[in-house]
Amino acid sequence: MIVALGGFALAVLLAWQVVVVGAALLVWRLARREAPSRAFAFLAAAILAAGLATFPLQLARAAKGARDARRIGPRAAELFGGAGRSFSVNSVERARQAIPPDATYFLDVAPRQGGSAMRFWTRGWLLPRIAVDSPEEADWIVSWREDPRRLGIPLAEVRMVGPRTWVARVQR
Amino acid sequence: MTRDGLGLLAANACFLAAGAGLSRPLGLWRSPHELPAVLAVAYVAGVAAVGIGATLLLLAGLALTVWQVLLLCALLAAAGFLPVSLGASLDAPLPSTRSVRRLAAAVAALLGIYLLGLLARSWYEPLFHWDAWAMWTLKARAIVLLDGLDLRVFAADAYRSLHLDYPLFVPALEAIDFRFMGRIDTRVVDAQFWFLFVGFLGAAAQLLRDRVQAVVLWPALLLLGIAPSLAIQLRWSIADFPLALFFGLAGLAGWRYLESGRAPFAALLALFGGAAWATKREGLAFVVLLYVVLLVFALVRRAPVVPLVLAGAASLVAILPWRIWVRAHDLEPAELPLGKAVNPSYLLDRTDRVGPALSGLAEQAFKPGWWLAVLPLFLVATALALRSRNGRPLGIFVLCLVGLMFASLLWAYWGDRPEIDQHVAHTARRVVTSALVVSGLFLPLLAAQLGRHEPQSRDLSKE
Repeated sequence: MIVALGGFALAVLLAWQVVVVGAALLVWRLARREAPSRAFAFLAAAILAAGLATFPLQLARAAKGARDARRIGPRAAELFGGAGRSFSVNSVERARQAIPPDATYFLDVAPRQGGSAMRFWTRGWLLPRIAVDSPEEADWIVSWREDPRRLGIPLAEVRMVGPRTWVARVQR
Repeated sequence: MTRDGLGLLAANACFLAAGAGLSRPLGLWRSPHELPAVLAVAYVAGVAAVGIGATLLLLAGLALTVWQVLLLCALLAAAGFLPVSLGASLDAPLPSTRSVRRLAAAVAALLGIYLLGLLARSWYEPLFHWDAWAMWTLKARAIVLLDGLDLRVFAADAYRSLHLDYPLFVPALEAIDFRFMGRIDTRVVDAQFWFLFVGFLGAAAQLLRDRVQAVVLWPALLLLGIAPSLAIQLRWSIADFPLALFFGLAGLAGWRYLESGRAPFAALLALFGGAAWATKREGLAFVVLLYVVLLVFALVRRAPVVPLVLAGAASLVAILPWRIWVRAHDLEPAELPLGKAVNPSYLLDRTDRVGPALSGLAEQAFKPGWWLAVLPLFLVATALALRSRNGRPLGIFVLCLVGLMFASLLWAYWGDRPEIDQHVAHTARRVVTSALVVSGLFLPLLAAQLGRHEPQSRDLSKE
């Protein structure tokens, strides 16, 4: 935790420890006035010192987190969970645009790196479109890194919606 | 985003109204001027009651529309007009000197500044934790977009990997937020956990201030409030966080019942214990252990056990309908049967898992970068309490509770099937949260027991 700090931050944190010691001594004195027990005063002072010791660090982290998060645009924020996981979130979005909201789809995902993330992301992002267990039950096929024609069911149209991602309508 | 934020605020105002109404017959307040002193407890009680109620509404086939939620909150708020009360619960805060009051105000101000920093972060930060976008919030989206528990998702094989047997408290709460926003804003919804966190810290202060001197209460809340693990888990927006908060308050209410025998604390135990049960499966073991420890202590101390039994039965209402629904739809996970997990020969064959599990749990619980000094100080306070006449009962109680919680986690790792090192690496930092929150909440209570003395003749408040 400490080694990751820059020189200035470390200096501030070290200087802050003077405040921590002073506050702990004050609490010790006040606690001794409130109750005769030394154990009570020791605990009160130790608890305050432990809470205060890294306070500037925690506050700086929260502020930095807020600053960093604020820079993320609304669209990027929506896609944030699935982004950077070896599949294209934009492809899934184009699949969503292609499939009517009341349709069902079968998700055909190759067992490659990112496949699991692709499965989870697609099932959430395509809602209220419903995933089904077999291609025969589906109105549509969403296929990642596999050509949907290999499933052997009649397809009315096959469209590539992104890198190695296809959407196909099942012929009825 | 502003509109979504206002929607979230409106939802939380409804939770507060529901909790304020509900907490009057529970005995937290009698006349309106007493309400501000218990407002945070009322708010968390409102979130707990609405979350449980929302789960039950979903099971009844409703869609959690704004009007349904408003009606539920109005009904709970209307409880405030009932001419019944379980009796008084909290006493006046312990008297303190002007210097102590100033110190407490300064520490509370620091905590407030830090919490505002966390709010700014929660407000803008997108969902990024896998479990949040791939499970908890996904279920909330499904509730909103499909108008309730659509069996094509919530009981379908294609969605089984979403852990369909997990309780619905968090998805239901987020679905309510989305309804009040009028759209699905997965960014602002993070702030729901922040509201709950602030409510939790306020509730802890209000439940403790008639037993703990301000000189130790506010420093202890600062220590727990700024523990990095809680700030990190607040970002994750997953159910371990609210589970820990509800369970911590349930433990506190349980102890307050034991030491005072007051029925309102048993009612709060029922509510928070039920919410913990309804939030996450791990809550099941923790809440059962809490009730067992409470019952044993009640029997030993000759305290009335009937309110505890009633509280346990009331907590069951929060989870039993869901478990029946899960069983009826055959959604039970193919996990280790309980019979096998208690089979000595099965466990003896897997003793190689105990070491990594134990060291993983200890490493996470003592990690200063995650929990500061919460656990070491808790252990010191417990050791000191065990040596003192005043603090011994509380010391034994909380040591039993936290010890059994860790034992249950160890047992779960021991009997479980996934490869132990990876399993511990992925989960230990989350699963210790409830035990650490309990430790942090009981820390000031333990210290206060050491500071208890015969009432002094002078009135400290006039100093």
